[in-house]
Amino acid sequence: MDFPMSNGPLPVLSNVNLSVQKGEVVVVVGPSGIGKTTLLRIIAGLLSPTNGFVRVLGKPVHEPDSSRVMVFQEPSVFPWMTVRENIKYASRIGAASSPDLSSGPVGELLDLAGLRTRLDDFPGTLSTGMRRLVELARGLAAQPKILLGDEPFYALDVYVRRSVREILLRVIEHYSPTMVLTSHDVEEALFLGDRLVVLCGRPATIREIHPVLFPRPRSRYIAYSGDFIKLRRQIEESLAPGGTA
Amino acid sequence: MRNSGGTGKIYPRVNWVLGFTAMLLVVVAWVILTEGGIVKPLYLPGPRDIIRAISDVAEELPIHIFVTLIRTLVGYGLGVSLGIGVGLLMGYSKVTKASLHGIIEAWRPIPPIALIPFFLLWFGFSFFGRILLVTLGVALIMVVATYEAMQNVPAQLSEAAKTLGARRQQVLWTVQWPAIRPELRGSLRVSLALSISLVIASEFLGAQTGLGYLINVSKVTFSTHVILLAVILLGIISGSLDYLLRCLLKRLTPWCAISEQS
Repeated sequence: MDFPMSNGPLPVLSNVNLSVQKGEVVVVVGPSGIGKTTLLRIIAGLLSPTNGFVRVLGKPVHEPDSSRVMVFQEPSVFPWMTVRENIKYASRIGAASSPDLSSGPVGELLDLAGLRTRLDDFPGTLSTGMRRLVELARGLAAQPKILLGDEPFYALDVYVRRSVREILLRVIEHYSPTMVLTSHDVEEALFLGDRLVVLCGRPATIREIHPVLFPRPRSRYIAYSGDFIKLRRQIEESLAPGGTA
Repeated sequence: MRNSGGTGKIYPRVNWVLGFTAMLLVVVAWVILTEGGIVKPLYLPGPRDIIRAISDVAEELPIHIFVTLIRTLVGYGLGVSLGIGVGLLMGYSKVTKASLHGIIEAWRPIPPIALIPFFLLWFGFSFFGRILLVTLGVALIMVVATYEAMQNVPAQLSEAAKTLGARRQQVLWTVQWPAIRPELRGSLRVSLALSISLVIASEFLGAQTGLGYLINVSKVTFSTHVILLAVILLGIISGSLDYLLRCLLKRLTPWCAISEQS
């Protein structure tokens, strides 16, 4: 993938070969500005690769559609719609069937986040963390084949971040959605992911792929286990400038 | 978190008292200056002169008010519809933007009042000519405001809609149009004031009715008390229309009222 620049194309990603299984959560980790967002935007169909291709269930990706919903790093909840209207957006425009808000992944997320009583409120009345959960609920409600999350906990303070992460973890463990997330926080990635992809270099390539074998359901206390600490240290060392894989 | 309403209850009351006091001071100063004989009635008519003016033009006044109001509302309504429509098209289609941008930028700095002689030549003293003048003046403001507002819509909102399955037209109607509404509020209010000014200016020339016509004929006979009555009525009309517009805009952007409170 190259970005056009005034002094010629700037290669961003190179030789990125990645396959994601149904029900798998893949977390792409790497330093800021390495190309994680670009990778997700290519998968979403918002950018076209200069070389190569993306396929979802064997079909090539040419443009965005509701089979690959993306949750963005920057706030993207629609402030003029209520929480309910936001969540039902994909069905309202005819891109998905009407979501079940009483059960399933969306229902569970609404319950865990305390959003059920706020369905008719505008997002402007919610906290930043709740708004982020509305975006995740909206993404899940579109029933995508794959949910893409670009730093889904970006700009949240440490306590809210932990709480939102726990809620997402419960949804992942109960409903096994297929997800590709990006993060620069290795601990967060190890909590959520089934596989960790380490993106490094310029242009960025996949330097390592780590299967995350910690059993589910996972609690925050796995962070104190020796295996967790060892794997985390190994990945952080490879992410450090001049790190070796 | 919902606003508890504590500060919200105090400040509007203080604001209202301050606004009312300032207005009262202006009225008191006017009464002292005119009724105290400090300023001659020809230069600044007093409250009793205004009452006299009402009785002088009582029969024809309702028709002048009605005509000015209709010209303003029709011209403004058409101008807003045309301006927002063209602005949305320019933001939506690069071809439309490339075609119209140059014309609009060249036309925009020209004060619409400067075109009145041409409008009189082309359309005579017709209702259509006066309305067209207002429509064009308002439309030019609204085209630019709409197009600029569309450029300011955060890209991730449109992109989020696209990945949720929205087609281009759906992105326009379900994301970009509601997203720009709060930004258009100021321009809509400015355009309303401009439309009243343009109607009055157009009524100065060749009209047989309207408050602008009333001001113009009263000027000839130095009936400054009638002129001041027309000016006061224009202020009341302008203020009332602006109030109604603000109520409408509040209904069209209910989410903004909530974020403004909090």
